Amino acid sequence: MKKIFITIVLLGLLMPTVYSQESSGQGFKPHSYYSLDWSISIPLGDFNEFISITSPAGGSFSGKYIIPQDIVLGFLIGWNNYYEKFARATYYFEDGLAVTASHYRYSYTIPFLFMMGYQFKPQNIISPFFTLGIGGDYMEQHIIIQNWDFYDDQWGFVLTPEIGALIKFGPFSHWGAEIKANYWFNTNSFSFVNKDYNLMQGINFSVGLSYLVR
Amino acid sequence: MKRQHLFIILLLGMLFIGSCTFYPSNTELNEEQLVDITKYDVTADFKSFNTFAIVDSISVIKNNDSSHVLTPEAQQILNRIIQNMETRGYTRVTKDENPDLAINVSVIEVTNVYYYPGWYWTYWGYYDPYYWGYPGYYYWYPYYPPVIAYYSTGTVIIDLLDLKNAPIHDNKLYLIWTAYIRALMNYNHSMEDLLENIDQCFIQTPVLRAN
Repeated sequence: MKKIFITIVLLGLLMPTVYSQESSGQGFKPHSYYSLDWSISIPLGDFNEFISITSPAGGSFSGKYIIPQDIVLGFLIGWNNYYEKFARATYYFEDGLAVTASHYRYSYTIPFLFMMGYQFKPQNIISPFFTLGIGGDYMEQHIIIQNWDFYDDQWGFVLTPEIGALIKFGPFSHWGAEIKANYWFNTNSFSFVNKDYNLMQGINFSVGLSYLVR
Repeated sequence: MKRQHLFIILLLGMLFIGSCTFYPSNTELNEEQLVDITKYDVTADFKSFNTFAIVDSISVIKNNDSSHVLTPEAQQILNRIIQNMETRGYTRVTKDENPDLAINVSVIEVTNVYYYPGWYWTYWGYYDPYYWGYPGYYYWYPYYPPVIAYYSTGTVIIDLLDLKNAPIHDNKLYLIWTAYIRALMNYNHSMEDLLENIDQCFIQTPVLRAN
């Protein structure tokens, strides 16, 4: 948490002290912008049954290109780590096996998406956007009991609708902040203790720093 | 500092935060060391057995050495196993009274070494089939046993053997139930912990009863 706090403070210190002579909210229309975001992720659906704790350890790097008609094309590479400890309990398996222990569950996701959407009034200080991300992801699940690590990994298809806003630090500043929220689901599936987990889902909330290109 | 450099630093910072994993504390690890694993032969009819005998000492296998032990602690372990079996309707007899079941109890004290199930059967301290009145027979898992990659210090193993059906099992004494109580013998766990875990091994095998 300390590292997260320091990062947020650094983002705040990047607020510009020099402003354009223009007093209106309009500035330059960026050709593209690149964002580095910190994300928190809330697991939903079957994924929430595997790990229910919100993950504060995640982020993404994205690029958005604003083409004529303010249509946005871009990419996103993300990552999130999930973790939860389960208290001592008995788990029954097939063929007469039973295990009583506490255990840890971890999951890692790395989505990589192609994004397409729309940027509203990109020349303004505050420019909302919405996009739809389509792509794939790599996901791992680990169940750790003492020094046993039972794990599985999969590649899957991902769909991610997203809304957010680009907030410039000045009408002609190359820097800005990005805030956004997205819902994601993938086609990954795995099994543990006679239970199948399908269609992982989640909601991410992100905030980050953007670099704008004229 | 150039803004590009600052961006790179923030990029690295984000990567660091995103790669953070959460590892348990030493206290939590200590608690996690209590693992009870049991497996039984799903084809065995536990209600068809009535009597059992148990070894009169515990086999302690330590690295390349082994011995029989009957300390007060070892006696507590044996007594607890006897109590659990009798609670489940089985009658204790001596090994010379033709018991239906036999119980071997072992403590393994090795660290960080890979061992497969049953490796300890060849140690002289382990009660071989001759002890149970079946010279020339050998132990056999009728099911695929859980693979134990590491035996940490103080793993207790309880083996339940089918003596009643040995003649029809082609000279094999079937291990119809095995319990592993892992990592209890270090200084952080008490005898009471061990005895409770013995109880748990029986609790998580509800089929193990005579009636």
